[in-house]
Amino acid sequence: MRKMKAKRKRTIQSQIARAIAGMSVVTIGLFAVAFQSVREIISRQYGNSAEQSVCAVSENLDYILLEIENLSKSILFNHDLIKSFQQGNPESFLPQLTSYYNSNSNIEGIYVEKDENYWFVGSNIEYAKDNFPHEALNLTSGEIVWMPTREVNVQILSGRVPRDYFSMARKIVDIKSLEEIGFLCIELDEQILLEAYASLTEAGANIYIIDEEGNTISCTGGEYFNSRLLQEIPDDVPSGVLEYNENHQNWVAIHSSFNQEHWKLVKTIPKAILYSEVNRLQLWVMAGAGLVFILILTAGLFYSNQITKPIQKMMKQMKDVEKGDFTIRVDTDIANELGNLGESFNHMIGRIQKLMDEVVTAERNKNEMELEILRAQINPHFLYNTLNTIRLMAKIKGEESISSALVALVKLLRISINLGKNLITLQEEIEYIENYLLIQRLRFNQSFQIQYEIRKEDEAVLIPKLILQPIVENSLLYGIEEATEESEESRHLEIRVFTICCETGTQIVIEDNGPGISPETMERIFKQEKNINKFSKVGLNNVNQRIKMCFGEEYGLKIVSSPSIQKGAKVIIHIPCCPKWKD
Amino acid sequence: MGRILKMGIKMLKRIALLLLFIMSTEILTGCSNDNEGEDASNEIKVELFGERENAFGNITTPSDFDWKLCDGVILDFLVENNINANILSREVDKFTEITGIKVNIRSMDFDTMVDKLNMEFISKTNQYELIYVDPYQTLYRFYDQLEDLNQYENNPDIPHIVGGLESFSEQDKKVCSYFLDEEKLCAVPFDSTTMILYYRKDIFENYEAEMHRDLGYLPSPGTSSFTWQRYEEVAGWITEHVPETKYGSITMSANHNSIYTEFSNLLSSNGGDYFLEEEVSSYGKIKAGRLLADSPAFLEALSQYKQLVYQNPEEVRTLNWTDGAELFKEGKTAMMLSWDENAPVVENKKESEVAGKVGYAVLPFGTERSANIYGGSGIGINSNSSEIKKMASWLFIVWATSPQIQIKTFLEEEGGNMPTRSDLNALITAQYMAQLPQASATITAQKKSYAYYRPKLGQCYEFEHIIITNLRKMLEEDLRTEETARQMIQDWESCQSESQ
Repeated sequence: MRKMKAKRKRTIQSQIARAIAGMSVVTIGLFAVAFQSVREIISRQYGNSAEQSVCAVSENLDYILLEIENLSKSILFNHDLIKSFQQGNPESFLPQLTSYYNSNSNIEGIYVEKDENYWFVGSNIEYAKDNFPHEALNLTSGEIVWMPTREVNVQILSGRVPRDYFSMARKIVDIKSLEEIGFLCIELDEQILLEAYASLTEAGANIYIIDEEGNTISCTGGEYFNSRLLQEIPDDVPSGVLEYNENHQNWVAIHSSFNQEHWKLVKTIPKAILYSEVNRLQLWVMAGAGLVFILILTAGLFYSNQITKPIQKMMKQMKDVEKGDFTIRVDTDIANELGNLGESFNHMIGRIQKLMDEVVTAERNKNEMELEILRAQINPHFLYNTLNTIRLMAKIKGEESISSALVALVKLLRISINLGKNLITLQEEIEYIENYLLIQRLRFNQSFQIQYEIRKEDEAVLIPKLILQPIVENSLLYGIEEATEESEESRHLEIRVFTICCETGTQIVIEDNGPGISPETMERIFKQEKNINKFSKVGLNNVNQRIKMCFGEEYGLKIVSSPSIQKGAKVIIHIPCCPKWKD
Repeated sequence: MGRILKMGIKMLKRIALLLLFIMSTEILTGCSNDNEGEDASNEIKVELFGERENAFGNITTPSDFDWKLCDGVILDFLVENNINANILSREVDKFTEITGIKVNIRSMDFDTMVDKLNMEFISKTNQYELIYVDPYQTLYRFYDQLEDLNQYENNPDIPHIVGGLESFSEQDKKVCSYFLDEEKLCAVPFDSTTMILYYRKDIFENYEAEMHRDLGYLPSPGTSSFTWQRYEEVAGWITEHVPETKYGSITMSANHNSIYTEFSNLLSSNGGDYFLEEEVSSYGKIKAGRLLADSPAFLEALSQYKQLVYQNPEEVRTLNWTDGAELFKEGKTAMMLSWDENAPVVENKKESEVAGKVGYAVLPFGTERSANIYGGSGIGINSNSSEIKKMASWLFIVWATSPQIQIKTFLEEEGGNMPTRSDLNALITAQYMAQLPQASATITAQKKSYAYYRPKLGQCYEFEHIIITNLRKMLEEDLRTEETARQMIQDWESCQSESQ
């Protein structure tokens, strides 16, 4: 269960790659949404543009039709023409009609009818009289009636030529009295409409001109207009765009009204064709977006690799360190935070190595001392019992001095061999010194004195064993030897051991009035050079390190000596009042 | 701990910002609410069309009405070329500035305008949205193609005719605005003209003694003593004795309807009329009854008119409106029966030699009264127009018939015209009478007891044609009045039977 909850470790590279991929997806998603909006705007603009084109053409058509309407109005406004027509005088009104016919090149012919008679100028249409929309005209008061395109036969010489004509008809009304006199019909070639909306034609598109009854006035392709679509085109909107479905294909119908809203110009075109450029643009943009995504991802992977490669190298180096190789140093020539991290790591490794060296040295010192003691411990009980036997024999024979010396030596050995204890009281250490000095007195013929001034409360202070004896031994050894060599007379050596209380603990001071310690001697003392005259092989350096190991760096041993003025030597041991063992 | 403190400070900042936003929103919305409150308390607002100090310049509208409702609409107004059309052409930019509606004033001579209107309506096209509705030329023919203006006047959300329709003379409205009944408001009275007597005040004053001596009375135009008979006598005397002018009077028995209007004044002043039905002269009728051409008053009028024309030299018998006014301006005639709208031209010193010398009076009296034929028109909307154009047209009508436009027309420096608004008569009488010398005579002539309203029929054109043709024939062929009257009756009955 705990394992399941544990976080799955992911590499930085994969995380960066995921982040870049995620951001790319979001960016491309936002871009897609924005592009969709832009696409809609562009599509709308396309629709508007197409609508404007249709409107422009319808305006042009309106103008053409208006011209014809105005011409018919001019005929009606022509009082002379109307009067002569009213009087049935074709010699008078036909020349005038010819002038109107000639004034507009779009007109194929003008036809007038009055009381079953008809006259014309222009194209001689077969059965022209039958082309008059009498029924529709009789329902009007003078307004214009348009007739859809139909095929008529135009008589040219003896032949007949089929033509597609559409026409405008109206009642001929006396504009003052409003008396209805006859009918007027102006024939027009469908070609003028085709030319007018030619600019709208394109592959796949159909153009229609539809009147309000749904009749097709003119169209491309000759197909009838979809009556269902006509119903969907609103009458009260001058122009617009409709979308519809026909034969499982989406179509767009663009429409515009003209001829006083009676006619509609409609362009139908498959949606795919109308918006083909937009669709192509969309395809390009999508391909571009995909390419950008791949580029971003590749660049992301490349840069993530650039970032993680030094990290991985550093990780490998750290693992080597973890295995114990503290000599390894990671690369720090990286110009970013990783360089700083490497420097810190290297510094840390250096510190660890130093500390470990110190520990090894201390351990080695301790082992040396213990080895020294062990050497001195070779069958100590046998030596101890033998010395006791000799002491008893000396006492039986009355050799009191020998007996006393042996007693001291036995006591000295007893403490020395007591390896089970690292710490002894100051009192025990003093006692050890006493026994040592008892023996040394026999050797140096009592030419020295020692004085103890131990404060009562310091007697029970615990100290590492055998830290005072080497110091006293040094005083005795170097103090007496110097006197002998330099003045050739025995000098009375005085050693004083006392304790004082200080702020940070207790100081045990051993001072003598000897010649002091020269720098060379001092160096020798601390280098622990062997001296065959010495009882102990332990040097002052060893004593100092043992104190520090026991109580900490702030404690230890200090030697104050000035040999030039013969003031003797002073060794100060600084220990805590209530020592706490570090280990 | 520090993190919690930071979060707390951040939260406090957000709350303070939110409170600040809410307070500022409250202040803003509070302000706007105050404004709304003010608006809501005002049920109407005033739109200034022109100078602020103009007492007539304000049109009140509902407070939420947007004068730019029809911004960008272009209207075409087909109108007779008269002083009202000129004033509108000059002032229309102010209307465009406020409404964004551009109005093209298509002014032209009366005959062309009527032809174009006829063409517009028989074709049922919408080339012109605003229509100059002459009750005797257009209203009776195309009232069904004129928009009912009641739907705008009764709409509480849009501007109305300033002061309401009651600001116009009741009789003018009956003639100009309606046909058959008051169901449909076809037009709003726009201009008004009345026939009055123009006479050379200086000649009458200079030759006062001689005329008194020779004629045995002191001619005083505008009084009941100045009858048609005395008008003839004075005209003849002036033609004979006054060298400053060539003719004593002129008559206009030319084309169009000048002969008809002149005769109608005579007919009505003698207590006669064309038909018995009163509505014929107000709301109008599709069909009228029998033509009263054989009535004694009619026959007397025919006789007097014949005499009136014949006493003039032949060259000034068959003038038209323009020719008559030109002669008068040139000082070649001492008297003229003409529309009051010609007065500005006559009084224009740059154009007229008789400016400042002219007196104006109601037409001479007959046996019953002085009858002064009315000739006003209204503005209507072509019902074939789109809805937005109709709305724009209504706004234009409200503005064009407003007091400030009418008073501008009246106070026009180059000579104004009488307003159609009866609510301005008191103001004109009190303050501006002296500015327009014809004003007094015109206001009198427009009074019910002086005004004459000609027949408004479904066959107006045919009726006028019969009267004009027979009057002219009578003059040209010197026919007997009874014969002329009989022919008129016969033609009218024939016309009526044809229409059936």
